Amino acid sequence: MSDLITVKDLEVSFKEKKKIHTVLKGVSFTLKKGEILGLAGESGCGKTTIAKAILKMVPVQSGEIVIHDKKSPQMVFQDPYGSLNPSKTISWILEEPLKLQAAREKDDPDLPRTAQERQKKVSEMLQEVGLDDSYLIHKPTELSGGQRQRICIGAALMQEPSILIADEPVSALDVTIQAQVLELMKRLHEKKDLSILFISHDLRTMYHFCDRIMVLKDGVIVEEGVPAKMYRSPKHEYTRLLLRSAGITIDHKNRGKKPV
Amino acid sequence: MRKLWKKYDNFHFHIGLILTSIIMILAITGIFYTPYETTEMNIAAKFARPSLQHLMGCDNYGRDIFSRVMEGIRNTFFIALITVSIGTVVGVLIGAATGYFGGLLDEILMRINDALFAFPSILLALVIISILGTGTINVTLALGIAFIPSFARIVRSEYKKQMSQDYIQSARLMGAGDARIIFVHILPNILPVLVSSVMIGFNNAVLAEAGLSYLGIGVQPPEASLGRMLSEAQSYLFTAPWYSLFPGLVIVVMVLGFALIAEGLSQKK
Repeated sequence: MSDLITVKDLEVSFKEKKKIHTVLKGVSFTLKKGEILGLAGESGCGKTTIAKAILKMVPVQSGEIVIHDKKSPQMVFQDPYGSLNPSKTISWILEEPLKLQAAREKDDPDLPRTAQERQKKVSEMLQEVGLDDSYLIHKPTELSGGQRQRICIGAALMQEPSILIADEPVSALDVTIQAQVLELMKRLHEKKDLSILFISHDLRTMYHFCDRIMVLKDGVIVEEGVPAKMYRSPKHEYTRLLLRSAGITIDHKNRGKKPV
Repeated sequence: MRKLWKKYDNFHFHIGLILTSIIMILAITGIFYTPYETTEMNIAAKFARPSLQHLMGCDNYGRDIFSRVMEGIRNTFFIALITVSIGTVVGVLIGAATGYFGGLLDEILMRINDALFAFPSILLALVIISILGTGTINVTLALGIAFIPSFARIVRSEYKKQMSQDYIQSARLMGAGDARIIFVHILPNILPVLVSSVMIGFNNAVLAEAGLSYLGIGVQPPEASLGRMLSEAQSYLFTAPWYSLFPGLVIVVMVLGFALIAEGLSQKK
């Protein structure tokens, strides 16, 4: 598998009350094509900052981030309530990425240029995320959390990116809806050969969902590996602590099956 | 209109809309038609009481008050409309730029705004009029400039609130430029607050224009203005009460109508 993102010695700091607070201290990793890479750690350890640094949403002090793809990565945010523009309809929200892409890439003949072509794509995407055309005229405020997160995923995939960064995409949803949204992401990952950087603090979900997991502590990656091996014999004390805190007793036979 | 009536199905909005419609009909009709020439003097009809011939009676020069009220509404209405338009357009541009970009631009523009905001808008308008001179256009411009700081402040705080929402980041990631995010993505979300502010601003503009004309620095004679009519009528408050009553009543109805609409809009179902 070829690399899609290479992060090398990444350092990010913020100035807080005249003090410099270093959030990421020399983080290095790669995201491979078609891989779901999990990023675990407690709140405030720097998980979201890694995502924001990749997306150029925060300034980077030192290090290197190389994205080996022409299309820029897209992101699914934690809060489905704030991720969708409340004054717009679902139709507009899904069509907007296509309009922006068409305006940016004027020479690409494959992009939908007319409103009719765009609407066709919007309908297709709605179906892919498990909703139908009746949602087109609705506004986000009229939808449930799970439906909103489906729309967020759909909107993020409208420009057909190769990389999706999901920042705790299910933590604001209830358990049954979490399973449905994760299942949807898994399905889209397989269908579109999507690489996903999956940020979460839920180690149970990550075990079932991710191909590889990195554990982040105070801005440093302390452990990295495939879930089955890592959960069976965690090398770092912090990973053991996280697993113990999550009360994980792993049934290794069910690895890769639908998360419960 | 029917759609709007149904969308905001509440007492305040309905009454406000009725009152404002009456005022607007009078204002628009006043452009093309008035029962009498507004400057036509008729000594025989001096201080004539309200009657079928003169619905609101006549003033000290025997001029028909209803015709002059129609012209006064037209003047006051359009001055207030242009004033609020200047305040809104410039206020939105400044507020959006400072709220969206923040940083040094925000600091500089907002400190200037604070300095202007420290003066009551009517006082600020008086200062501007003292530089520009009196007259309808100058009063409109002065009031428009005086209204900018309040609109800029409201819009800035609304943009700041929206900036923390993830949909802005999402739009940026998808490749939306700053101008598109400011005007297409964020602006519709602040419209409810902006519309209420425009309504309140319109009322303030009506009162400010009436106040300035009352002081004699607004609309100049022989053109009619509600404020000037009140000023002229105050000497005849007891001998011809209708002279002050009707212009005053129209100002109250105009202000009340817009205030009720603003209240009704905030009570959307």
